[in-house]
Order: sequence, then C-alpha cells, then structure tokens
Amino acid sequence: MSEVLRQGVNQESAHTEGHHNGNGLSFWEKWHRGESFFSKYVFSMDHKVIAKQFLLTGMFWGVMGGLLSLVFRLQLAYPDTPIPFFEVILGKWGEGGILDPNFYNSLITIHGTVLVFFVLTGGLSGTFANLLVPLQIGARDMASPFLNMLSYWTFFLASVIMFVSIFLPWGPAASGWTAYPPLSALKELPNMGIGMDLWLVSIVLFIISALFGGLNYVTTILNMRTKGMTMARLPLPVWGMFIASVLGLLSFPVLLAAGVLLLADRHLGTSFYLSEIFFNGQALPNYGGSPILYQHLFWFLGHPEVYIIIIPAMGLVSEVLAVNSRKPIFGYTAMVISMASIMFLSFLVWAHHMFVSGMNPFLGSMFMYMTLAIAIPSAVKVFNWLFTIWRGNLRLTPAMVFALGFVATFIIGGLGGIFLGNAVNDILLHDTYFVVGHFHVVMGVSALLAMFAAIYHWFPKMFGRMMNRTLGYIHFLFTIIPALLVFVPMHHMGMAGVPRRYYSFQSFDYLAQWQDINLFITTMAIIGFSGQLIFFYNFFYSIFRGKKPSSNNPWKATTLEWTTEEMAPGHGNWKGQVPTVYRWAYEYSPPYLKDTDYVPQHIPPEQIKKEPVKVSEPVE
Amino acid sequence: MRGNGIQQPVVPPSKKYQTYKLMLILGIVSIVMFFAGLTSAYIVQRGTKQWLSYDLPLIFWINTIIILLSSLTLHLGYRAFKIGHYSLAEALVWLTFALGVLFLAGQWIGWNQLTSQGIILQGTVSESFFYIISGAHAVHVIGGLGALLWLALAIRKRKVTLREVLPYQLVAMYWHFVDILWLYLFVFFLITL
Repeated sequence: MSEVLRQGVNQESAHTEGHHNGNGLSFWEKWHRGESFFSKYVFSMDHKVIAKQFLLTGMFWGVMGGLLSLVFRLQLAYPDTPIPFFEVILGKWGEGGILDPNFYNSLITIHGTVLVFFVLTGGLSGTFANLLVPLQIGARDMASPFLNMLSYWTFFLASVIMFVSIFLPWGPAASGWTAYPPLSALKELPNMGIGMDLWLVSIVLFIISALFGGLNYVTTILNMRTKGMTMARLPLPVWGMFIASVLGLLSFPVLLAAGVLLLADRHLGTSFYLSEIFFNGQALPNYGGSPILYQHLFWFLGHPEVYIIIIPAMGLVSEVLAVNSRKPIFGYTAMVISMASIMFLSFLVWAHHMFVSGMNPFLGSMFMYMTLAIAIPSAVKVFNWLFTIWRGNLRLTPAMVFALGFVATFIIGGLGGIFLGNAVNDILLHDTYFVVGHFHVVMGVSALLAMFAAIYHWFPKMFGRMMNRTLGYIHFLFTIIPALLVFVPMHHMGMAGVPRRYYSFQSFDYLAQWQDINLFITTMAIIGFSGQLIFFYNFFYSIFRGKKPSSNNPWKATTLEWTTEEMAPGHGNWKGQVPTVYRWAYEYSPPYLKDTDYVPQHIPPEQIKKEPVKVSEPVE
Repeated sequence: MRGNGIQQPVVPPSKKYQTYKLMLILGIVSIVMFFAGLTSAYIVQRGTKQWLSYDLPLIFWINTIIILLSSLTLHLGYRAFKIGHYSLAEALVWLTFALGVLFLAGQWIGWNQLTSQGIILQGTVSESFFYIISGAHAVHVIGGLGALLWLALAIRKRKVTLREVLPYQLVAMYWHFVDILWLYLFVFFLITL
C-alpha cells in the first residue's frame, strides 16, 4: 500500500525549495524564514504549532478549572468543618480553614468561564481546527497564517488577564460565568471590583481571538481546498469546524455588544441594565434600564456557544468512529444537514434559559417548541453514530473508547435537556442541580471525552509518536465512571429541589439529607481529577519517549493528514505536491477491494486493485 | 523540512483575491452582527418607561453628507488608479482621509452639542444608546482611517500598483462598508428617536 500512497501524491504544480542553511543570517532574517527559535516555537505562523499552543494552554486551564472545582467541592462536602489546607492555598480567602463565601462565588465563576471558553472552545476547536483544517483539506496552511498567530496570542493575553485576576487581593469576579447584571454591573459589591473588570476585558479579548480564528477557518475551508476536494467530500471534522465557526462569527459579536454595554454601565454611568436599585440603603441614580436585556444578548451568544463547543466535538467523534469501525460513516449527508440545522435552530432557542425571567407564555412556548426541535437533528446524529459502529469491525483503540464514551454521555445528557427544554418542567428545575448535572454531562463531559478521543487519535500527527494504549484505557475508566457518578446524582438532587450556586446547605432542613451525597460527589470528583494525572503523564512522556508509529498512517485512515511524508510535518505540510483528491473521506471496506479494507482519498481510481464484487449469501 | 513551504506563498496567487475578499466580507458580517445586537437591544428597550425622544442636531446631517462624499472620492480615486494615474489616486485617497477626519471631528462636535442640550451619556437609555452606538461606529471609522493612511503611503511608494490592486479594493470595501453602516445607523436613529 505504501508505494501506492507515494504515487498518489500528484505531480502537478511541482514546487520544492531546497533547505536553506540557517547559519550566518541575522535574527530578523531567520525570523522571516521561520527558522529562529522564536518564530518556530513561540510566534509561529505554522498552523500545527499554533494548534499545540492552543492545546497546551487549554490543558493548563483544564487543570486550573479542575482544581478550583475541587476547592468548592470540598466546601460542599464539609460545610461546617474548618479545612486548614484552605488557609495554606487560599490565604485570606480561607482564613482559619473556612472558605470565604464571596470567594466561593468567585471559584464557581472562574471555573465555569475557563472551562466553557478557554478549555472547550479555545482548547478544543482552537486545537483541532488549527491542526486538521489545513491538513484534511490539503492546504499548506491557513488562509492567513498571520491572523492565525494573532488569534492565539490574543487568546494568550486573555488567559494571562484571567489568570492575574484570580490572584487579585480584591478577589476575582464573582458573578457566575453568565455575569448577570445588576450583580455584575455594581462594582461596589464584594469581589465585583477590578476582578470583574479584568474578567470582562479577558472575555472581550477571547471573543476577538475566536473571531480571528473563525474568519480564518471559514475562509480556508471555502477557498483553499486541494484539487478534487469538493465540499461534499470534506471529512466530518472539517464540516464540524466550518459550521461551528460560522456560528461563532454570527453570535460572538452579540456577546461583545453585551459586554460593551456592561462595561459602560460599570464605568460610564449609563443604565442599560440598571433600574430602581437600592444599595446600602440608598437609591442608585440609574433608571430605565433592564437586566433582562442583558440576558437576551448574553444567551443569544450563550446558547449557540454550547453548539460551538459540541459541533466540532461531533465532527471529531464521527471521524474516529468511522476509522475504527472500518465502515463508512452512516448517513454522511444527514450528518452535515443535521449539524447545519442544529446551527440554524440554535439561534432561535436562546430564551429557553429565561423561562423564569418573566416571559409572555406564548413566547415561552414558541421557544420551547424550537428547543425540543433540536432533539431531532441530535437524534439523527446519534442514530448515525450507532449505525456506523453497527456490525463494524471495531478496533477499540483508546481514541475509539473515548468516542464511544462521547456518544453515551451525549445521549444521557441530551435526555436531561428534554426535561429542561419544556417550559413547565423548567420552572421547577430552573437553577437547581438538575441544570448543573445536565450541562456538565452533555457539554462538559461529552465534549471533554471527544477532546480526549481526538488527542489520542491525532497525537501521532502532532508529535510523531504514539501514546501508551494501556494508560489510555485506565485513563478512560478513571474519567467516565467518576464523571457519571458526579453528575448523575446531581440530577436527582435537582429534582428534589437543591438549588445551585449555594455556599452551603446547612440552614435548610429539607436539604440536610443530601449531605452524604455531596460528600460522595466530592470523593468522585477527586478520583476523577486524579485520573487525569494518568493522562498528563502519558501525554508528556509520549511526546519524548512514546513508541514510534509503525507507519505514516497508523490508524489506516483515508484522510489527507496521513499522507504527509513525515509523521509530524514541518511548515508547509507536504514536502512535494499537495495531493489530489478522488473520492469522499469514508471509503472503508468497500466490497470491491482486495488485500486491504480502505481507499485513501488521494489514490487515483486506476491504482486500486479491484476484484469482482461477489453477491454474498444473506446471513441468517 | 525547516523552512519548506515558507518560501512559497501559502495562498496560491490564483486564489489570493477571492481569499482575502472573503475574509474581509466575513469580518464585515461579524461587525454587522455586533451592530445588529446593539440596535436590536435599542429596539427592545424602546417603549419602556421613561424613553426620551429628541432631535439630532444639524451637524449629524452634515456628517452624513461628508462621509458619503468620502466614499465618492475613494471611488474616483480607484478609477484614476485603474488607468494608472497614481498621483491623482493618491491625492484622492488623501482627500478621503481628510473627509474621514472631518467626519470624526463633526461627530465630536455633534456629541458636544447634544451634551450642551442636556442629552447626556449618563441620561436615559435612549440618550446612552446614541452615544455608545455612534461611538462604536467612530471606533470602526478610526480603523478605516488607519487603512486609508497606509494605502495613501503605499500608493506613494508604488507598493500598491496595477500589478497589485487587491489592497486598494480591500480598503475601499471596508471604507464603503463603514459609510453604509453610518447611513443605516443615522436612518435608524431618525426613525426611532
């Protein structure tokens, strides 16, 4: 097969520059040639280096967000007991081992923000859109490598500002990740001063970074595909990134508008979101605004945001499932249409977050129907995944088990969404642990599992080595079991009326019975977090010491990223010509094949060794 | 492998025009969404209690004419540029730049006139919205002025010539957009205030 792979690289537009000797060049010359240390690893314009930068930053925030959650989980497990350890790590916020209640609010705020934006948006689509879009469509880089670099460094700046805000003596933002006014608009409140400002600035920078990235991904996918790569032949991860990027381009600017108005309310004395507020016994001058306005603007992004997270995850999982089932993805067109209809519907459902904010019931029921309609394309996708693996020749690689885990948690979490999308149920379940459990399973855990699947699958492409399989399986078990044991009980707590975002439940008799469950959840959270250490060991060890892959196409996949001459290619991706594409990305186990069970996209039809198609006897 | 691919353009020349134009169009789409968010917030808030209606001072009408004129000069510049009259084109780009600066100065005067009439940023929501939305538009104009300045200098140095018309087209596309955006906002305020 490997000779065929070589020959498949087409001969048109021959262009290879010899390797330039880097000695004797000035710093700037080296910079422009991409040969100095800085331009190769730091301010790199190579999409693969930028992908790794996004991944490492995302992993850093994953650890950070996880650690923050452990602190507040410990508080919930031992609400009355002083934990001296708190004073050691938190200083004045944990004086005498008692967690400061305002700081508890800050912890959940930063935990939510960094996981939603920095890990699951920046870390997940930032990494894999950068890595896979040019490689899978057959481009040498993004449409604008410079804008791509700018996108990462804006993200980095946003990260630094957020990180600094955590350590401020005045406390980080404490408004929850949604930053609802009037709470977030009053800078006199505890922990809502400069910490909140830095939070807003960081989010504004993050939005700009996401827009730069999105512009680039969409343009690259529309304009830079290699010869023969029609839109209908794109691998599904690319479709996922494309749809999520369009979604981001249309919805992130609206959050920016919400943030600008919020900043104006905080610092310019306007009253967009403020009206008739008494604070410390005095009436504030602000009049005429409405906090509901913020909710509308916020959720107009906020709801598409969960699809910006999950649609790329769906694309990545579809690819991993098809490769490791050795079967074409079931219903390719249906997959693309369902992703596109999720994108379309996601703009029409935002107010289902606001059923209890005071809404005309007629309007509420419209949003309810739209919300429940999203179940249709979601179910189409689940059906297609199940039929992709159905009677497939399954190879349970670590990536595959994580992808299967994604499908499972997506179903479990998605069912919770049907409860919440119904306005009547939502009035009871709103702001309870049911909501926390629901979105953690459907968008937190499942997107994280998809991200792990993608890391295990494309690790060789990034670092030229394989990750350890055994550790991968152990990591999987230590991830999915604790995750479900953490979040499934939360659904039950929510149905019993346990409210979310409470510092402790000691003052309410009817909540006392949940104390043991809280302790159990915390224990599971600690186990789950420790399980990630296995992953980190495996990840960093494998970068340097991992096994070399046996071939350049270790998973026997059809897509173009496995046709590069080197496992982890340099800038430009293909040393010779960019391959030409002759078919779709899912030619697995077609009946006409001899010797092998897949046809890569770049093999010309005449090079395929065919055998006459035998009509097989029906299986009893 | 080091350096391979860096010497060759990432975007093939045949696709360059399409690619950068598409990128700018997508950027414009997201700016449109930003202003759509602001103006729809305005519409939602309209009709709530204490909504102050007021007339825009005459200066905003003059500004509208100025920025429309600037689009015209930039377009005339492009026509001169296309037949190789680089110095005329450069002069017209400078004129566009000057009109842009005049527009900003006019906006500043307009804001001051409003303030002296008692229509202030810290006032009711309808007053605040005008300042925030026109201010956000002014920020986009400043970006456009930077692009015009760069373009004028690039034409002077003959870096942008008939062999390389893309930069002119991109700057013009953005500037016309900023112009049309103001026209939309102005009409929007005229109707709703």
